Amino acid sequence: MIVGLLLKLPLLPENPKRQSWTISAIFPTAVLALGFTAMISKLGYLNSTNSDYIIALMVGIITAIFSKYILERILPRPSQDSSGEPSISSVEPPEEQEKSNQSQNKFESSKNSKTQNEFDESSNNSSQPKEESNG
Amino acid sequence: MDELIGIIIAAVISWLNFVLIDTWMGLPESPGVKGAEVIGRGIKKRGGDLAGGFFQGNIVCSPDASAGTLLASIACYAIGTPEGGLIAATLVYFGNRLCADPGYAGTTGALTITVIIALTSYIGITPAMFIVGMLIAIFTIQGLYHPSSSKLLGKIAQKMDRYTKMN
Repeated sequence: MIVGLLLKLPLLPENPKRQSWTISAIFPTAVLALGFTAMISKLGYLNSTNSDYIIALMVGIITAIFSKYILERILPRPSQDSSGEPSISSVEPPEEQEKSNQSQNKFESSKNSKTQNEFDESSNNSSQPKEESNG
Repeated sequence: MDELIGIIIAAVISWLNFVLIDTWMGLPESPGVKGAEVIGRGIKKRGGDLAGGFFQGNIVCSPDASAGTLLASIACYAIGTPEGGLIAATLVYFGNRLCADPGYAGTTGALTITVIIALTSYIGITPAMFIVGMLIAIFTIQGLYHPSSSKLLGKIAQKMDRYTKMN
């Protein structure tokens, strides 16, 4: 929890907590740390010696880093689509989202200008034979 | 303790554990996914309660406190108390996230039943009794008669101020 707070994880999720997807220092970081420590204990790596404290400390640090940087990438929060059904999508940092939006806008604008040009060319082409036939 | 009495006590404790935690965490308020809504409205059509239907739909569609209670009991039986319960809580959390659920109900259910199993072990109730007890508890909600069980769940939701605002 201390490492989580140092990594700027909030202590608790925002209200209403039962609907919050925010990863905080208490939930799920502390719960995951307990679970991972229990797994290591049952695998036989904790054997009542002084090294147990170091192993437990390492589990705590690794779990906090895992919660902060990895958890949302491997288990992303669902995004609501137009039909109201939550669908799983990857979570990008805001900067990356802006970049991707900008690149998408550029792509769309270039695509629109291309189609406009194509349309103009085709209309010119289609008008030429008419003139010929008239002439 | 006599096995039958132990199973009955474990069933009552498991029932209260998962129903109260799931209601407190807002399962009757709204369906988390479309499947839960379909189940809730289907139960209402057959004369049940909508909030209770959403509750039943939600526990089908993602591992909530009912699954947490059962999995923690199994893990305590297979691995030991409390390590099994803590491992189960972690795995239930990952399962929740995979099912588009923030994971509070399932994780809390697994942790509370782990504490309860540890405490009731002093009066002779074993994790095996909790496994059977939880199966009986979930059978009374999901296996007997949906309209009646959903009405009961709806009344509990009203008492705990978690009744759905949807129509």
